[in-house]
Amino acid sequence: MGSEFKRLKRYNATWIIARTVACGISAFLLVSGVFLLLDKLALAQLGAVGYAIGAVAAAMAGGAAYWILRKPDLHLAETIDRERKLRERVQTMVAYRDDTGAIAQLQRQDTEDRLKNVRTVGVRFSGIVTYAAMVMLAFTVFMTGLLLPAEAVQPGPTTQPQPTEPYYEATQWQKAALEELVEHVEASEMVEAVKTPTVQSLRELQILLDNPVRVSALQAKVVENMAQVYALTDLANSNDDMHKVLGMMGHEFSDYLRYCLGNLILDDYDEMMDIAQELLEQNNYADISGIASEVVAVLQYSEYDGSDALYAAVETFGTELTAAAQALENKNLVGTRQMTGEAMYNLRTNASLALKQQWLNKEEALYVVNTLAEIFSVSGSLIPKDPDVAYELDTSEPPPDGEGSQGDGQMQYPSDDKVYDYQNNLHVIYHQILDEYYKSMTNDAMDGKFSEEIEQFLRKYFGNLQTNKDEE
Amino acid sequence: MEMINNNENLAKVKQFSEKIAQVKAELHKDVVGQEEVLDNVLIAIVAGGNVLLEGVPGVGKTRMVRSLSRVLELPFSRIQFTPDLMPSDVTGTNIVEKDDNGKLNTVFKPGPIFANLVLADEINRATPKTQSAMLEVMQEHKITVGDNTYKLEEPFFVMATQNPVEQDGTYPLPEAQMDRFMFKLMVNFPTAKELADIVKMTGITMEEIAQPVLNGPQILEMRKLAGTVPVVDKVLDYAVNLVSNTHPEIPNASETAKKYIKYGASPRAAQALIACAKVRALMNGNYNVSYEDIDALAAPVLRHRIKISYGAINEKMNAEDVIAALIKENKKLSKA
Repeated sequence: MGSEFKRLKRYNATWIIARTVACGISAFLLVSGVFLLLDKLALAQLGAVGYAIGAVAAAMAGGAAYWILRKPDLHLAETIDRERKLRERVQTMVAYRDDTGAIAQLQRQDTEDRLKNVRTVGVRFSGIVTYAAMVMLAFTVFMTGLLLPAEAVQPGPTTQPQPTEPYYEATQWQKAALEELVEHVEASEMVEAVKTPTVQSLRELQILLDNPVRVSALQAKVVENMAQVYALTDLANSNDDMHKVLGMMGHEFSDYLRYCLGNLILDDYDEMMDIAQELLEQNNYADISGIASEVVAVLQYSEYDGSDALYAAVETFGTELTAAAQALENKNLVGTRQMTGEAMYNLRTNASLALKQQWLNKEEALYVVNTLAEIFSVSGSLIPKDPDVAYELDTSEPPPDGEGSQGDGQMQYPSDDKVYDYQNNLHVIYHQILDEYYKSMTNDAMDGKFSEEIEQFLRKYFGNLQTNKDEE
Repeated sequence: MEMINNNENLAKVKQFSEKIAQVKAELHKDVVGQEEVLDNVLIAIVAGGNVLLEGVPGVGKTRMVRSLSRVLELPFSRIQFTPDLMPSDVTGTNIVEKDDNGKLNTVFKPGPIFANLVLADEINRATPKTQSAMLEVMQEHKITVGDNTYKLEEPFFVMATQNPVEQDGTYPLPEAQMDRFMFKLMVNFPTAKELADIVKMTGITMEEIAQPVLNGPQILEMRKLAGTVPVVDKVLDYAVNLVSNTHPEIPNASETAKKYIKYGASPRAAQALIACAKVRALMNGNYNVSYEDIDALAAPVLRHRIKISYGAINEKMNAEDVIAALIKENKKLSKA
């Protein structure tokens, strides 16, 4: 093979290698750049692996380019003939390189002479531009991925690492205090419906402290316990059948007894009145003194007397006073005076017990909540409110004064900030008359109208009301 | 010895194109213009093929051949074909002669075909029988008369002429005979300048003044030398595809053939194409055959070997137009 053709062959090989390298570099820059961009966009985190993949891509691209671009001598000869319009001289020279004939020799010599003037082969300006553009594009992608600041990119929720929340580290004191609280609840006189779930929840809280738990998770559990004990207590108190019965008949019983039984001589009248008063103030039901007035009228003008009259009144207003009537019948308040007295005694006792239980439930619930807040330093804003104690101002219009008190059978409930003053047959803002009520209760207590237990209950009750008022 | 032979061959190769140039120069002393025709005639002679010259009367066909015979120092014979020409008028015949002793012997009297360069003038005027007598001569360069076969001296060429205008009393050459002609060359009417030169020249003298440059053995040597000109496979395939694409009936036939050709060229066309391309390359000072050589010789080789269809006639295309379309399509297919 002639020296000139070999020279061009070397030149072509150099150009092939240059293109191969360009392909490899482009592949490396492009692949690495893409991975850098993905890293910055928090879509993938490969780090150095991205560069390794880029290197592999470079090797593959370069190898493929070399494989495609590498051509046999005859192809190069054809390229030279076409580019330089050498009339297939170079192809013939390559094909007949081993021919010793005269013409073949002359042909080779002639071709070699013509190839001396050929400097480049297979290199076109468009090709140079194409490869240069390819490298530049890949370089641009790479530099974009390299220089793009991570802060400029909004991190995705799935890939941006969240700051690690610390684990809660309970102290020995906290654990001991919690155990003490559990024991307290177990020994308390809360109803089982409240006690058992509360103890269960507190035990779960203890287990939580013995295992790794995030601060927020623990706080949530504590607040959940607080809300649960309140809810259970409220549910238990409202489910008390005796309380319901007594509540329903509370006020009406008060008036009923006051005005209907006022003319009757009952040994336990005062006691009954005490009970009625207690029930009234505990339950705050609307007064149905209107009904009582009707009963009075019936009694005054009826032919019955005594307990019969009472029974008659009950019968007359049975639909409105069903519960009261039922209670009276259940308690054998009619019949004999003695039986009425016993019934009233039982009623009073049961009412006291029911009220006492309710108060115990609430007291214990409050104790549990406050203790948990103290143990785990729960801020006041997070502590749930007692649904039975705390309430919001009711801006709704109260029923007009006098309505609901004419015996039409409709129970009128005051708005949250008002209570019904049955004395004067109107609704008043309880803040304004709370002190009066308290004073009245105190006077009655001093007069010995309450038992010791009832008095204690009433004092605590008014104490809570006063507290709520101060907070507001 | 090998080196000496090689040096001799190198010298011969270098002399080849010089000799051809000299021949052309001498011919132009007697023939005005017709550059392409002269080139192709010389190519055919060196390649060892016969040529059919077609042209109107008076364009110098006969003069050209006569002048050629003188330049090449080849015994020349002219046969004027007429309808009453018999085959024996061409080939020769046995006659009975009385020798000196008065004995009657049968002696073969060679016909005018016994020459190196035979001009078959107006060959299309002879009967098919007489035309067929030329077949064996043109192909095999021998004549069979009776029981005897007479070999013709090499180099042997037949230069036939015919009028392009169909006239009464002519017999178109059959395809088999047409295929024996390596080239069919169109001798066109001279240009105005050429005509003026002709008038000037012949006004002085009608004599042919060209001098011998080559002889028969030299022509044979040149033929042998041209045969060694290398042809790269791609060029060979190009030539072969060109001939194949003249056939509309083959699978994957070219669009041109399907549309414009009724019958395609024979394999002799491919042989003629390569052989002549080698000579042409050498004549032009090149030492290898190129696509250009093939394209230049396609028309002379193919125009008398293909039969154009009514589609071509309908579009007012002649054989040259069809061949040009074939070349264009072949270039596209081979990306040459």
